[in-house]
This record gives sequence, structure tokens and C-alpha cells, in this order.
Amino acid sequence: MEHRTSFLRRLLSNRSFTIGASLVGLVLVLALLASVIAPFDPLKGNFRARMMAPNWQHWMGTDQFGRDILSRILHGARISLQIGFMVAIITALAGVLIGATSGYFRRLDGPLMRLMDAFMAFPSIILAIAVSSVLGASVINVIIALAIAATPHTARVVRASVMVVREMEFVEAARALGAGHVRILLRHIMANAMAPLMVRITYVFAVAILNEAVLSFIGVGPPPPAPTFGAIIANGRDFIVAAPWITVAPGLAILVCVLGLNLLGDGLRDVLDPRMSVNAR
Amino acid sequence: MSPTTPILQVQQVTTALGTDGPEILSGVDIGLNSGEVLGVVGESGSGKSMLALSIMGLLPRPITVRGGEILLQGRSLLQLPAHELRGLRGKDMAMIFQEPMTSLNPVMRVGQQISEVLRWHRSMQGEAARQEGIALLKRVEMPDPQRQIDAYPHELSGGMRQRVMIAIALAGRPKLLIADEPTTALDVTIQAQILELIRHIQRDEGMSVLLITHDLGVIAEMCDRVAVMYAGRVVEQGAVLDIFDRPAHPYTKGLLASRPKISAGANWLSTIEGTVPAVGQMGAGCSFAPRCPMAGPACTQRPPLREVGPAHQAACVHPFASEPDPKAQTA
Amino acid sequence: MGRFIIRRLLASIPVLFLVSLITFGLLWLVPGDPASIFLDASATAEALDRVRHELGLDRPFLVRMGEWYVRLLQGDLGTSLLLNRSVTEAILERLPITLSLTAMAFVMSVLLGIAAGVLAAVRHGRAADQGLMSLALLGLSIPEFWLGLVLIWLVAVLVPVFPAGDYVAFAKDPWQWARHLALPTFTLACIQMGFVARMTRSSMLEVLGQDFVRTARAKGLPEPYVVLRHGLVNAMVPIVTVMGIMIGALLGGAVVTEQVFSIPGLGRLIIGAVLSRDFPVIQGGLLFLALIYLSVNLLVDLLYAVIDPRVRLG
Repeated sequence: MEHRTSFLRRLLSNRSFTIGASLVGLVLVLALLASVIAPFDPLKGNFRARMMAPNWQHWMGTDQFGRDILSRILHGARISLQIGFMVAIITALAGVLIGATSGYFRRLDGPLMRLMDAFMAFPSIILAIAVSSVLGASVINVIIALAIAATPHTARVVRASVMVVREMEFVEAARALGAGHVRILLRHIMANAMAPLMVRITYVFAVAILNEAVLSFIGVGPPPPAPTFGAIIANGRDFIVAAPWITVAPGLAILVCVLGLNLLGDGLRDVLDPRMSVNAR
Repeated sequence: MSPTTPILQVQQVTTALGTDGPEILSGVDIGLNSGEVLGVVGESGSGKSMLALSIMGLLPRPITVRGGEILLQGRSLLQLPAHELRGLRGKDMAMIFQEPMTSLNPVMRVGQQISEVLRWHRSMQGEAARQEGIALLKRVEMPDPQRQIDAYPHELSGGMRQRVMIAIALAGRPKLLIADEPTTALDVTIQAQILELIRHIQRDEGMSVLLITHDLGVIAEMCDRVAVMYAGRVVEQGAVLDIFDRPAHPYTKGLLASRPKISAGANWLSTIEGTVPAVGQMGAGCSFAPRCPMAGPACTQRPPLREVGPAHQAACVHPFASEPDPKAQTA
Repeated sequence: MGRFIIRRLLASIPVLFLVSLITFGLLWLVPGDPASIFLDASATAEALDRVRHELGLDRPFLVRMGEWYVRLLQGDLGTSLLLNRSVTEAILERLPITLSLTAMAFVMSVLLGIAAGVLAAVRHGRAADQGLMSLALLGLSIPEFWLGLVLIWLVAVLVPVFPAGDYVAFAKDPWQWARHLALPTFTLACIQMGFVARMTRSSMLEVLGQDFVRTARAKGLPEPYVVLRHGLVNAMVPIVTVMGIMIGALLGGAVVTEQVFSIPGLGRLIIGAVLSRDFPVIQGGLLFLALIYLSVNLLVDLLYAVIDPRVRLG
């Protein structure tokens, strides 16, 4: 008990973590309440309010169809966060499955890692784009594509932790006491692999949001009329001189989400494993 | 220089953490005469390594010298601008460290690490520097110097690496050599060889050596004089023979007594009760008082280092006391 | 050293095989009929058959795979459904453009990133350190394509310092080539610069605290020399390790950057193929990118062995 509260306290006193968590929390609340707080329908255009610069009625202006940008961004945030979250969960599960198996069962390590290396040979964005385009445009396919792109690296991280712990003496002791493989894996080894995994998953979430924006921008993301960040930016591209707010606003929204997640990840890393930390003192 | 001219004078040096942090060294006084070997002995935490780093100007960032004076051949080191102090390092004063394994750059050849000193302090280049490097390796009794000069540190054994460190230190022809536990990390047989090497070189060059160690045996073998440190302060200083024969300070007595003697037979080993206080946890009085069997009311004031014999100082109000002072009341 | 190279080459063969397998299998993932996806609903039965034949869908799976590998070993990646020309040709034509963009961005991220990291490490805890690291964090949180668009707007349209896009061959006009690649290179390098800066800083901080750096200072060597010759050289080791991954990320980013800046490189070819479901080009492009990545990683491993002599013995 004492150990756990001091961990929480350390976490809360880490500046990176608190700023990041606040940003993410803010975005989360806004996105979840999107349908409630959005002042306008993100999909409905108002002919009379076309191409309006930010004003009191439309805080982030409107696009060429008169659609309110702020409302679109709020809904876009919800889509991005949903996708990012699902990608993070699936990647975590797949990564643990592959990484733990690979790290623990020596004979499976070679072939599994070759497979991961092969997937990592493709730049992850390109892999995501290709898979998404092949499977067809839909939210689920985007999630699958992004998860496939993020899993190999995650599997490697899990594998590394598992391999370190596997060699430790208490595992030998457990085995001597007759514990089966799965039990050892779950109870002893995974507890230690959790820390780097959690840090990694935070970054996976952040990258998923970035990549989803790219996919939407190119046109292989969730199908229109979904108001994803990428779609809004792609739409605004043609009017960048006349109506820069259409492009600038969603980009800043992405920046805030990703920055928040990165800060959160940094904070977690500082607290969980200072050796890994980029903010080493 | 005559043997009684001090080459190094450390006067009331106080080293501490930052501007208002706890003190690590407190009013330390040390004198090293030219051509002499002065040993600095103490337990871990006594501050002896910090003393060496303070002299060299190599203290890690938050730690600084807050007070006192350090004179090298009469020049104040603490008042020199940084680049002038740097000019003295490696040339007038050199240092060798405890861990030869981590003290050498792993991706640079040994010869290059020696040539750096030659290039920078003796303006030697290319082939001349290389030949001098080989000569230096020969001097430190490195086997097969022609080949080893191109070796990487990980290809050498611990003893050989320490020889390289000594060669590097000698390359600048220093007048003062500071050796911080040079043999602690080595095997016992190698220890003897390295110490012997240092002694040879010291005699040949007439170099002054500040030898830091926790090993009384090393002190007895190598040093002319010795300073005993405890918790960041010097508690006794004098000729080795004097101190070993008639230790004045209770701590020194305790140290000497705790050496296991073969002649004593199977008996409880004599120890000094208690532990060294942590940095910043010392009281205002004598730092050793909490552990001293002879502590009394007079010990609530910090005792200065005073003469207790010819060239023999101790920081104690009742030096040479051999039993609890009958006049003192128990605290 | 030679044995190290051979060992490394042999180790990459299974990965190469798996890569080609994945690329081949991509077509198999398509839900439904690839031919009708490519052509669309109004295509004639004849056209559909032609495309199916082109994609090898009218032959059994193993035959298809065999054909694929035979052609692959000859360097034939099939024919583009859309452009009706050899995929290999189309790719090789545009490859130099993408490679030059990626290479320039790589150099920029490495130079600026390392400089920033070293500076931050030396000024540890002070304003410069915090400022640089905040910039780095910002850099790696920014969506690349958006940055490109904003830069185009600000620096190419509002204040026309740079051209808004397109590409001029180096051979034709070196100055214009540089002008046209300036913004895309910077956009592409931004994210990686942030990573490199952070990594360099943390690596430097660790190395500067080590004993051998203290020894170097004890020798009286000037501080900049100690920081660079003793510090940076040793700190580079983990950075070189991730150089391969960096290039992979840069290649991916290049594809998107080309789209934003209308640069006719491999990336635009692939994106075009993705949007029009030109499967042979998608597969060929993927394969090529993977090949480039694997070759670069091989070079990086060799570089690693040169820098750190301990690796050669291992």
C-alpha cells in the first residue's frame, strides 16, 4: 500500500506528467461531450455563413459549405481519440502476446522476431496506408491498419523486459517450486514488463492520432462525411490563402492532443524508469 | 627545492553542496612537502576523495569549495581563473583514479590517450609523441609496450590499465601526483606491483605524492607522513612512524587497533563502535565525540588541530589519552 | 571485419523473404474482387477478366506465388494497372528524387538535432536546455503534413521566399533544386530533429558523468575538446543504433511530404496507386521501400562496428 501511494505522489509531482495529463484530460472531456457542447451540427452547412473568419458566433470560423469548424473539430477529436484508444489497446494486447511468447520461449523467439523485423522494414505510415487502402475505408480498418503498424515495436519492448526478468533468480525459484510456464509469465514476469509497456503505449496512442490524421488527409481514413482532423485539413488545403483558419485550427488541435500524450508519456517514463528517461538529471 | 618546502598547502578548506548545503569537507588543513609522500587515510565517507577533487578543481557541479585556500607551490589555486587552473592540470599536478576499468575512454586507443597529454602540455606531435608514449609505457613496466600502445582499454587487464593511467599522469611531468586509491580495485598481487612502481617513480623523479587510501598497510609501506581524516575533517597528521607508534587521536588509535593481528590469537576483533555520520548530520562539537570512548564535556566544542609532538598534530582535547578521563562526567 | 559483414548479410535473408511474402500477401487481404475494386461497377466483363489475368487471380494460389517470385528475382514487379507500364521502371524513375529528399532531411535532422542535444546537455538545467528541449518536444508532436501546409502558406504564398511546391532536377538548375527542396526538407526533418535532440541530450548527460570524462578533464584538456572528442564520440553509439529507424520514419514521412509539396517522387506514385487501387504499384512500392530500409540498416550496423571496436569482437 505504502509503495503504491508514493508512486502516485511521485507521478503527481512530476511536471511533465501533470501538464500532459491536464491537456489530455481537457481534450478527453471536450471530445466525450462533443455532441453536447458543439454549438452546431458538424455535418450541416449553412449557405449564408460560408467562409467566415473566426467570430463570436463561430469561434473557429466556417468552411466553404458554412460548416462550423469548432464543432467539426470537437467531433473530429472524438473520432481520433476513439481510434487512438482502440489502437493502443489492440497493440498492447498483440504486443504482449507476441513479445512475451518470444521473450520467454527461446525456440519461438527467432522466427517471431524475424517476422517482426519484416514488418518493421516498412515505414509504419506506409504500411498503415497500404493496409488501410487494401482493406477499404472504414474506422475499423483504420484501427487494424494502425495497430499492425505499431505492434512490432511494442512486441520488441515487451520481449526485452521479459528477457531481462526471465534471467532473474526468483523465476528460477518459482520454477523449482513447480509453477507452470503460463503462471510464471503472468504473475512474475508481466508485472515487471508493465512499466516500459505503459510508457510505450502512451506513445502508440500519440502516434496513432498523428497517423490517423495522415490517413484521413490522404483519403484512406474513415470515409466522408466523418469530420476527422485530416479530412478538415485536406478540405481546407485549397482555400489556405482565403480561409487559413480551416487548416490552422485542426492542426493545432492535433498538436495539443499529441503534445499532451507525449508529455504524459515522458512523465510516466521519468517516474517508472528514470534510466529510460529523456529528461535524465 | 629543499625537502621542507611545502609544495601543496591546503588551509582551512571547506567544501560543500551549493551555497547553503551541507558541508562535505570542513576546515581541512593539509601540508605536503616537496619530494614527500603524504598519505591521506580514512573510511568511506571521510571526504578524502573530495579533498583530491577539490585540489584538482574537478568537483562535480553542485559541490564547490566554499572557503579556505589551496596553494600549489605558493600559487593560490582557488583564485585562478578557470583556464589557468586547467593549464596546471595534467602538467604541474596530475591525478590517477581508483577504477582503471572505467577511467579510460573505451573507444580510444591507449596510445592516443597518452598522446593527448603530450600534444597539449609538451607540444609533441606525430611520431615523436608516439615514441615518447612507448617510452612512458616502458617506464611503467608495461609488457610489450610497442604493441600495447595501440591497444584498446578493454584488451588490457586491470593492472595494465592502471599502468596506463600512471603513464598518462606522468606524461605531463607533474610535480604533484595525487593517487586516489590507486590499487583498491586491483588483485592483491597486482596491488603490490603497482605500489612498488609508484614508489620507484616517486624516488626517481623526486615527485611529491598525495596518496589516498583506506588501507593502513599501504600507508605503512609507501608514505613518509600521513593525515587521518574523519567525517570531512583532519583529526591527526604527522610522520608515519610517529603516528603508528604513538597515535594521539582516539580515532587513529581505534583504526590502528582494529587491524587483525596474527599474534593475537582467536579473539574478538577490536572495532570502533557506531558509524560515520552522514553528510550534514554532524553536531557542533568534535565530530568523533559520539563514538569516542573518552568523550567528555570539553568535546562539545570543535577541537582545533594542535601540535602534540614534533611535526605531529591532532585535533583532540585530550590527546594520547589511554583510558576514559577520570575528570570527565559521562554525558 | 569481413566475417562480421558476411554474417550480417546472411542474417538478413530470412527477413527479406518474409518481406516479399508480406508484400505478396497484401493482395490476398483485399475483401472482394480486386479487379472490380480497381475498375468500378460499370466495367465490362472483358475488362474485368483482363485485370484479373494481369493480377494473376485466374490462376491457383501457389502458381501465382511461384510466378511472383520468379518475376521478382528478375527484377520485374509487374505492370501498373493504371499507367500501363512496368512498375520497376516507374519506381526507378522517381526513386532518386525521393532518396535525395530523404537524404537531405536525414542530414539536417542529424546535424541540427545533435547540435541541439549537445548544447542542451552542456547547459544542463539552464534556460538553453529547457528551451531547446521544449522546441524538440514541439517538433515531434507536430503533424508533418500540416506543418508543410502552414509553411507553404506563410513562407511561399504570403511572403514568397520559397516556391510552393514542385521539383527541379539538380542537373537542370542546382539553385532552383535547392530552393524547391528547402521547405520539404525542413518539414520532413522536423520530427526526427526532435527525437535526435532528445536522445543526444540524454546520451550526452550519461556519458559526461562517466569516469573517463573526469580523467580527460584531469589531463587539463580544453572543455570543448573533452565534450566533443570524449563525450560526443561515446554518446553517438546509441544514436547510431537508431539511425536505421530514423531513415525508415523519414522514408514514410517523405511519402506524405511529397504529396503536400507536389514533388513527383516515389511517394506520390505510391499514394496515387493507393487512391486508385493500382495494386501492382502498391506492392512494388512497398517492396522497394522495405529494401531501401534493410540496406540502410545493414550500413548502419557496419558503421556501428567501425565506431565501437568492442562490437567487432562480439
